[in-house]
Amino acid sequence: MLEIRNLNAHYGHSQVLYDISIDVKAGEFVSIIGANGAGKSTLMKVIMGLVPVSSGKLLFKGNEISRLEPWQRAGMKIAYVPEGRRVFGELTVAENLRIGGWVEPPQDLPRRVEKVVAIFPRLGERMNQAARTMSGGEQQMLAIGRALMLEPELLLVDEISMGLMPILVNRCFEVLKQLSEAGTTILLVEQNARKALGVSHRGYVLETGHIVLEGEATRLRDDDAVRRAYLGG
Amino acid sequence: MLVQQIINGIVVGSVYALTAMGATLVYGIMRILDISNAGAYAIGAYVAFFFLLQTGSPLVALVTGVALTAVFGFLVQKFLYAPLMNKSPNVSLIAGIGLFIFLQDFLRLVAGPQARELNFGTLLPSIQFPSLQLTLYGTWFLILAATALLLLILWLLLNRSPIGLAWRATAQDLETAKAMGINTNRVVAFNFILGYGFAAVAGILVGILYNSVYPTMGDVPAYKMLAVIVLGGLGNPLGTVLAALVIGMAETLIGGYVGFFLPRDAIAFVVLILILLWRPQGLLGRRRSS
Repeated sequence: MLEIRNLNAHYGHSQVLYDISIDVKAGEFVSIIGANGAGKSTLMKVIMGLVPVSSGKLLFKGNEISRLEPWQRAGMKIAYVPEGRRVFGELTVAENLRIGGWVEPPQDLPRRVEKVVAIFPRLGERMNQAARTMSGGEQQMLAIGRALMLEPELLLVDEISMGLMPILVNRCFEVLKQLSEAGTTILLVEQNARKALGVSHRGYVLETGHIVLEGEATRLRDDDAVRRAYLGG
Repeated sequence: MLVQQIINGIVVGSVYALTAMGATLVYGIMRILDISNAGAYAIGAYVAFFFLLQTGSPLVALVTGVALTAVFGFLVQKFLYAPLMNKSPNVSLIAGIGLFIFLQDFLRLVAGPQARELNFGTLLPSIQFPSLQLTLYGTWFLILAATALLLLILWLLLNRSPIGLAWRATAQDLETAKAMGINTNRVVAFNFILGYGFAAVAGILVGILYNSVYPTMGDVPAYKMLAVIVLGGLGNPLGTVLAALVIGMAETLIGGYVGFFLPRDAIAFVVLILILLWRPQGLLGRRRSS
């Protein structure tokens, strides 16, 4: 579904991603783990079109998308949960969800809102509340719910666990696992390697802009180098 | 006398609100202070003046003045600001100032340096109340009605329409709005069309109020526009209306009662400084936490 071939990208003048090749097949749940500053968020922004590709290929369902605007990629049903949630704080929950389904037919939105509320009943209670007045956990649910409004073919998730209480982290990973089991293709970048590899099929390890390791999630969890560097021994 | 001054203050404040609204909308999305918006103010007045001369119809003059200035706003966005969008905001600021100065001299070259009459006055008779020492000028009604109508339309547009929702989302977080599927190029273009249209209405109304248009008529409004948007909380349309009324009232009442110890425009800036010392984030601004 997503093919990245020999991709390089810069943030300003400095190169952040070097010769990245990643595959995500339809229905797969793939995690990219790595330390802070390894280039994970930049990679997500490159796929979404928020950071330009310097060279290399970026294919979605066989089509080169690296020259498309971000809103055109959203129109191809690539949804994005940004790092730090980035919900629209001054807008209500309902308005945030409306924007998540911006490229979809308006008459279909009520059905999608119902689906999101079925996953996160909390959002249903807060429909007319400004997003900034909600807790961090609720905002993370909203950020995921907003992305699901697209009924995405590819869901990009940037750091789902950041700044959340452990119980909420578990809840968020559980939701991703359920979405994956229901057939959604997911690409997750995550610092919490243990959790990420626990729910995904395959993983990549990103270090200072290079992919240094890839494989089945179970195999990565047992890899000595990965254990030492990312799983705490 | 007091009633006269208060109404006068509201009229002046209304004009400031319309003048600063264009730049407020632009700042809300682009985070740049668009000085050339004050140039649009003069352009609108001149286009209206020209069409009034040609057709004799105030309505044609008004509509073409606003419409052509709005088109001009679209072009400014497309050919000046869009290419600079990824540069530092200072670059856009300087470019905007440059365009503003160019527009003044362009108008001077094309229309001459002298003031011209923009006379809609015969359509708008004044009403006098000699016993109350009160004169209600017809132009005041025009300005108050136009301001109220335009602000109502703007409010409905921003709060009750899909393009308004897209505008508010883009103003809060342009990058995320893009990633959610909002064509932010279109939002920005719409923003400039609306912003320059507002500036044109303000310029035309001021031309009617003082019965004159001249190439540098945007000068003082440019400074006042900055004062009003800063005081309103930068990019907050409601704050801009409030700040415009505060400044309009302050300069009219202080100028009228305390006396002209300072020129009126100076009074406006003294008020600005005092209020900013008390509320650095502006009247309706929220303190930015990083």
